[in-house]
Formats: sequence, C-alpha cells, structure tokens
Amino acid sequence: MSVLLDVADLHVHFTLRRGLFGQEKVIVRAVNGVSFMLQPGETLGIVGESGSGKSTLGRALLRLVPATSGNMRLDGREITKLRGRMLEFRRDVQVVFQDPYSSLNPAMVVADIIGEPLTLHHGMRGAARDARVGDLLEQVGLGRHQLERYPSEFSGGQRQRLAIARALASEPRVIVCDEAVSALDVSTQSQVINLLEDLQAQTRVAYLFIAHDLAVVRHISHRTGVMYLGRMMELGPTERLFEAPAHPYTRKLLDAVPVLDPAVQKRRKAARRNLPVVELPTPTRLPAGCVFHTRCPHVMDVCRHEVPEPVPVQGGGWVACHLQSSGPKLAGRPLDALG
Amino acid sequence: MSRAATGVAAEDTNAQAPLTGFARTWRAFLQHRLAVIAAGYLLVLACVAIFGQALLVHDPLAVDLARTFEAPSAEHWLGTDHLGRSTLGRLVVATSVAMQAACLGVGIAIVLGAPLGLLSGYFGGWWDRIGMRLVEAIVALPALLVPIAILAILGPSLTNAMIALGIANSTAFFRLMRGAALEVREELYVDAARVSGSGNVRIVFRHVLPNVTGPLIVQTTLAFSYVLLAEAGLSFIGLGVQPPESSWGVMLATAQRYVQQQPFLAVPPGLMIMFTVLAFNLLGDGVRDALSRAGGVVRAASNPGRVPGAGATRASAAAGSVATATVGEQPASGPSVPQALLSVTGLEIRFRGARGGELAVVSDVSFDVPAGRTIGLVGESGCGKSVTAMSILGLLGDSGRIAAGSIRLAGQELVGLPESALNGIRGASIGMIFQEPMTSLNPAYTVGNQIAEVLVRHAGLGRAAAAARAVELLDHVGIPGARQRAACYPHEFSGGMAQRAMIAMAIACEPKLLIADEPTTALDVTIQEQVLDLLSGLQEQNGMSILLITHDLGVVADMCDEAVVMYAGNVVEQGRVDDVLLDPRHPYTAGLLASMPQNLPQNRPQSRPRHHDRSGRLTQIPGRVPPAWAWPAGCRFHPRCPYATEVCRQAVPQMVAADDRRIACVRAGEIDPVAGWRA
Repeated sequence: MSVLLDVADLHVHFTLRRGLFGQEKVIVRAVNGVSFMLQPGETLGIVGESGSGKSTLGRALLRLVPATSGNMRLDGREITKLRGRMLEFRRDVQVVFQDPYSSLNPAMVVADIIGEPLTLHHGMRGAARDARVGDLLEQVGLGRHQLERYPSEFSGGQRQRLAIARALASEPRVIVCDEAVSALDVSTQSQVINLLEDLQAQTRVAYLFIAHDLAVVRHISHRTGVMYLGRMMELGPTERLFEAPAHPYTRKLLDAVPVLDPAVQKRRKAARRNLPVVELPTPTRLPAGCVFHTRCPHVMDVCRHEVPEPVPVQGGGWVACHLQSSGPKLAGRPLDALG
Repeated sequence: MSRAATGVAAEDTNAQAPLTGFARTWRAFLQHRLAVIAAGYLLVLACVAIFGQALLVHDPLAVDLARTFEAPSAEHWLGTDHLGRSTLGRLVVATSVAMQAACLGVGIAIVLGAPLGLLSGYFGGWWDRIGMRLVEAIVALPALLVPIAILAILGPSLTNAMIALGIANSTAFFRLMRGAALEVREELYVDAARVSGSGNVRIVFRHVLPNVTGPLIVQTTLAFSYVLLAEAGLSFIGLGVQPPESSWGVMLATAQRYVQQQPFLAVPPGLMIMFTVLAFNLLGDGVRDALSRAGGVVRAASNPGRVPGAGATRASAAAGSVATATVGEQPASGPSVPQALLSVTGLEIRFRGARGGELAVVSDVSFDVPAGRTIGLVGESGCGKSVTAMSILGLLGDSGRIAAGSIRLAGQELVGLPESALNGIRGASIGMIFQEPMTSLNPAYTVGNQIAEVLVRHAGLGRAAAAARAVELLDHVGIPGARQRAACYPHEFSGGMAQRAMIAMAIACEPKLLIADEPTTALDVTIQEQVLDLLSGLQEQNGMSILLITHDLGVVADMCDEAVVMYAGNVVEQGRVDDVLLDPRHPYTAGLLASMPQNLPQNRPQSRPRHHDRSGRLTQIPGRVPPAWAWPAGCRFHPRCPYATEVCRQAVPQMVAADDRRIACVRAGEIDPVAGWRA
C-alpha cells in the first residue's frame, strides 16, 4: 500500500501571554505528538471533544498554523518547512470548512470563488475557466448556469457544495473536511455525505474527516482516530474501533451517543446514572501521565506518572493505554476482555 | 453522480430571481427617502460647483462701491456685500472652492489612511503597533489643533489647510480600515483563499478590500461633512482661503464684520453650510442603513422562521421581571381543569415579511404536554419548532403574532395575556433554557447573582436568602464547589457548566413546565449525556413537565415520552416515542430516520430498526425544507416525497388519529412509508 500522507510526532503549541504586560507565558499544547498515515482514496476520521486538538491538527496539515515540531510528508516530500505560497502543496491539499456561510466570500460571485484556484494553479482565465467552473458545479450536483450568483443566494447545503467544488478545482490528493457536515440539517447532511463518497470513488481523493459526530464518522471513514487533549488515544479500522474499542475514552465517547431505539437507550441511560461530575482539564493545564487519567474508570497508579506508549490491537490499529501492559495486561485485546 | 445531481434539482426551483448584492443595496437605499433627497441635493451642488461660474451674469470679483449692502433684488438675487459684489456670484464661487477643498482633504485622508490601516490590520505585528501608537498620538490632540499647528508651519492657504485636515482625518480611515481588516482576516474564506494558493497581495485586494468598501463609503461621506465644516472654520479665522477669494468661511467672516449694516449677508453662506453638512450626514446614514438592510433581507429570506433579536429578548425575559401574577391558582373559566398541563390547540403564528405582508410560519399546530412527562418537538430548521416554543412564552418579538388558536397552561389561556402577566409567568411557572448558555447569561454579573435575582423577583425572597438558595441550586444541578462557583462570572464556566447554571436558574422558582430549546446542541456528547441525565433526574424529583425542542432524534430517544414531528410549519406525525422512532408512519419521519447515519453495529442487522438500510449509501430526502414563502399547495412535503400522487398535490392532509398515533398524510394506511426510501 502506498502512503500519501505521513505525519510523525506532530506538535502544535501556542503561546498565550497573560498579565498586564504579557509577562506571564502560558503554553497551550493543542497537538501533542500525533502520528498517522493516510493512503490514496482513504478516509481517516478524527473524533474527539472540543479542545481535543482535532481542528488544530487539520489546520497544521493545511499549513494555516505552523508546526512546533515533528514531520509531515506528502508523497515522501517534506511539507512541514515549506515557505512562501507553496503552490504545488496548495494544489494537492485542500479544505472544506464547517461553516458554509463564512467560508465563501460574500463579495464574490460563484465563477470567481471556484475559478480562483483554476487561475492560480492552471492559469485558466475567461471562457475556459468558466467552462471548467460549470463542470465542477455539475460534479457537485448544482446547475452549471449559476456562475454570476452570489453565495447569499444559496442555501446552507448548496453553499457546502460550492465549498466542495472549490476544493476539487485544483484536483487535490487530500481534502481536509473540518466538521464539513456538522452545520447542516439531517436531510441535507446525508446528501453531502453521499456526494463526498461519490467524489472519492471517482477521483481517489483522500479525506481527513474531522468531526464530533461519531455516527457520521462511523459511516464515512475507513479508519478512525480518537483524540483527547492533543493526543491520539487510539487509531484503527472503523468497524473494529466502534465494535471493540480498546481505549476507555473511546468507550466513553461511544456510550454517550444516543441510539435511536428508545428502549435500548433507556437501558443505557439507567446504567450510566449517578456518575460523578468532574471539571474537565484544559489544554493549558494538562494532567501528568496519561491525559485521560482524571476521567478514567480504570485508572491505575502508573497512569498518573507515565505517558502510555502505543500498543497494537487485535483486529487492527493501535491504542495508547496502560491497561494493555500493566494491571490486567490486555496485551492488544479490546477493552471488553476486562469483563 | 446522477444521484447527487437529482438531489438538488428540487432545491434550485426554490431560488428567487437573482438579485446581485449591489442591486439589493441600491433598492434598500432608494427606500430611504431623506437620503435620496440629500443625494439629489449634493448632485445639484456638484453641478453648481463645476458649471455654475460659466452661467454667472455678474463677475463675483467686480467691485461696485455704488451698490454696497443691497438687499436681495431682481438684479442681485441674494443682494451685494460691502464692496458691492454679488452675493450669489460669491456663493457659487465659494461652493466650487468648498467642493474642491473637501475633495482634496478627504482624498488625502483616504489615500493616506485607508491603505496603511488595511495593511496594518491585515499583517499585524510591529507595523501595526507603531502605526497605532502614531494614530493614538494624533487623536489625543484636540481635533482642530493639529491643522492649526501644521498651518502655522506651512503658512495659511487653502491647499495647506486641506493637507493639514487630510492628515488629521486620515486617522479615522486608518482605524476604520484596520478594524475591518482585523475582522475579515479571521474569516474562514480568507483561510480558504490561502489554501487555494492565494498570496497576501491577492488576498488583500480580492478578498479583504471588497468586504470593507461599505464602511469606507459611509466614513467618506462623514469625512466630507467634517472637512467642509473645518474648512469654513479655518477660513473664518483667516487660516484658510484668503480674501478677495471667496469661500463660505470668508463670507461668514465678512458678514460678521458688517452685521450692523446688512444682517442678511450671513444667511446664504450659513444655510449653505448647514444644508450641505446635513446632506452628507443623511447620505452617510442612508448608505449605512442600505448596507445593513440588504444584508438583513438576505438573512430573513433564507431563514424565515427566525425571530429577529430573539437572543436578546430571550435573555432579558429569562432573567425575569417583576412578578405581578401567580398562575395556576386562578380557577379555569369555562371547561373543567384539563389533564394536560400545557395544551396547544390550532395554533397559527404569523410574521410580517421582509417585503410587507404577513406570512403564516406555523399553522394548525396542536399538542398536549401532560404533567410530569417529556414531549419532544422535532424537525429540521425552518420547520417552526422554535417559533412554536417562543409563542408559548409570548416572545415572538415585534414582527410576529399569534393569529389563531389557544395555549392553555393549567387551564389558563396565555394567548392575549398582557405583557405584565406574561412576565409573571416566564421564569416562574415556565422555566426556559436555550442552546447557547453563554449568550443567555449576562456577562456583567456573577452566576450566583443572576440566580438570586430571579428568586428575589419571582419568589419574593430577601437578598441573603436568595443568595443562599442560589448556592443550593448550583449544588443541586451538580456544579462542584458551588459556593465558590456562585461568585464566578459566566466566562469562567465551561459550556457544560454554564448550561447547568442556566438549568439552576430555570428551575429556581420550581416551574411546572420547562421549555428546553436545543439544550445540548452546542455541547460535546459526553457533556450532553450529563445534561440530559440532570434534566431527567430533576423531573423525577419535582415532577415538572418538559417541552424539549431538538433536531436530534437520538436526544428524543433518550429523553422523551412522546414525539411531535413538525415539517414546514405543520405537525405531520405524533405519538409515543417508541412508535414514532421504530415504526414511523409518515413518509417524512421515515425519511428523516433513514437519512441519519447511525451508531449501530454493521454486522448485526437484526438489532437495527427496519428503516435503517446500511448498504453503504445514506437515504437522501431530495431538496430541502422550503422557506415559508415558498410552501407548496396540498401536502407541503409532496415535492420531496417518493409516494406523492396527484391527490397529495391538491388535498391538504388532515390529522387522523389511529391507535395512539396521529398522522397527517393523505395516503396513510395505503403505503409502507419505509420501503419507498430504499428505491
């Protein structure tokens, strides 16, 4: 299998200045040593709560925020240290943002919004450009004769199609979908998810699909990574990860998603009652050892001091959890083996 | 591909005749009558300034000492001055001078201030800091002192005065453009342009500049009026235009000197200055209104059900006000006390449209909320569920009203109650929580204070007792360290904790009904779970009813006893939650369920409900919820429904009850509402 994108030990830290004269520095470790690979035509889902660093990961990959350390390689080329306009890199890596309202310039017409990358990367202008924009509009399921319209004349779902058309224009190899369907209504959301899948089948584009909605990620992703406070806790084939999670945090996330069967949901609800409420840690004050230990039901002494190393899991993927090597020594078995 | 294309075919038919942004703004501007008159006046003035001197009969510089201080006459329409020169002629020349001077001054201000401000805001960093300190230094000096100081160095002349005014005024443009650029820089479309490979130059000119032209135009008109006034002032004190040249300021100075001989001399230049400055200000107001209104029309059209300014109204209403009535104690007039705590029947809500006329956004909605139960009001955005909830609280704003139907709380009719009576009900008998806890809490007061305020107003507690009760309530909703947290401000709370605090405030007066509008939509799943558990726990303890508005059917499955499904302002299906979610009878409910990706195992099909097809693709409901002004005749769902026949296009479906279920579908009973979505 060829590797399209290889991210190794990526760190993205921000420095906040506090106090009257900015004398007090606080370092926010938004992404804290994340590694993964992405293959052509693959969708890698990234899930996690707000503050997990999943959006920062996407922005670092798009080179919208600088990486503090670590490496990102696209087709073997180092992309972490590129400078200037990085045209070649920009052609290969594109984005679809969450908010279809603020991601399209309200002062530009469709032809210019989607045509911009065509001009920049392929030198297309005039009628040739407009013809290609028309093709792209048809490819995303919009009529081709809307070139002179403004974004405000389109609905939310249609705008997200426009954003997808813009991302496709340069014929990229990777598209970062940062909560790309989260702002859409249910019926529109399913249309856009199907469109993304169709386009992947046609073009073999790879998606880094960042979302907080686990059901959507489960549907669209081949593999899924779970992030918490800047770290990747578990990564593996989607079905294995959702069916047999190996990390207590993955389990916690999955249990929190309500299912559509009220009887089943009532049982789950009864089982989870009376858990204590804890204040969540923030990326400015990370817990020592395993970052999840303050919320973990299986916490052991070692978890408070040592950062767990990744361990391969039966059925594919890996997990970073001390349960695998200390205490019950799961040694690659899923969490269910605890009984 | 073809599937994706058919997916939006229906959507396109909803689009109106396209109106470009400029045309929309122009139309909005034309509605501003005073601004149009002002623009016309300024146009005439510009013509006078350019062509006026060619049409003059009398040379404005020709001295005629025989005819000094004349009153207006047929020959000299505006009379003559101390040297017998025609006042009209001098006024025309002065207008030309004033216009040229203003153009020069404003031009310098824009050329100097706008680009520097744009770059300073866009790039930030050291240049921004140096620029801002410089601007602050200039602004710290009195407005006219800077030009006077510059003139003292350069010597008095009109050009020098305008250079001085231009420099002084450029700070306003600098700050305006810097602020606008700072704001636009954070927009996602600028990030998207960067990802597309745009360099900084392209981003500034193509993406930032077009979005700041609106405020720039407004600022320009205001700068014109300021520069005109300043020019007149400087010329009046002898630092601008030098006699015998003419200017409004020079003419006023002359008039002041000879006010004993001919008081009328001051009238023409005085009126000119007043009208012109007024006209520029009115034009500025008009452009500003047009720009914001054009934006507003777009939003209103794409989102018909939204209540304008609802956030503010909600927050202030949630804080409650003086309790003047207690509800529920009054004997119900007419029918005997009903079983349901809240009973909504035949509700119709109308809103004034953006283009005049009234639009029904909710019609014929009926449902009951029994005591101690949770009812889910479900649907996509634009279906009218939030508006329905707002109408129960009497919070429809100025443009909405309840046109028909009744809302009874414990037998008391709420429709038509005066605002003072509703104030006593909101926060007391009915508690409310909203999607964004942060915007519903007042950032200026501590959380404990805000809860105590509700108790003082509605429950009549003393200050100290209310504060103590507020801490108890915060503890009760599971906030750790409640005593310390009560003294914290809302921004010190996380989203989940803020929603807990909102719940504490909502239940402070032990309401019989809690209305929760998307209470967990902004929260992470793990926090959502905790908040839902909190609501269920509170309900078990105090037996309140909950009306839960949500688009998330999973939340309905977790919380609700009954579900009311809305589509395009109507109820389409209602029944026990198990029935509705596991065996939907209306095609919309079935389609909605089938289009949701689900967190259910792929390899155990028997554990999944029948409507969930996991063949790889999600079921698509074609098109989208149409806006209220485009609701089709007959069944409003028919253009998107795979079962639609000729009957559906014509007959409005009536609500039919069958074994605990109510469905509004003409073809109910004769179709299998699940199978059709698989095709």
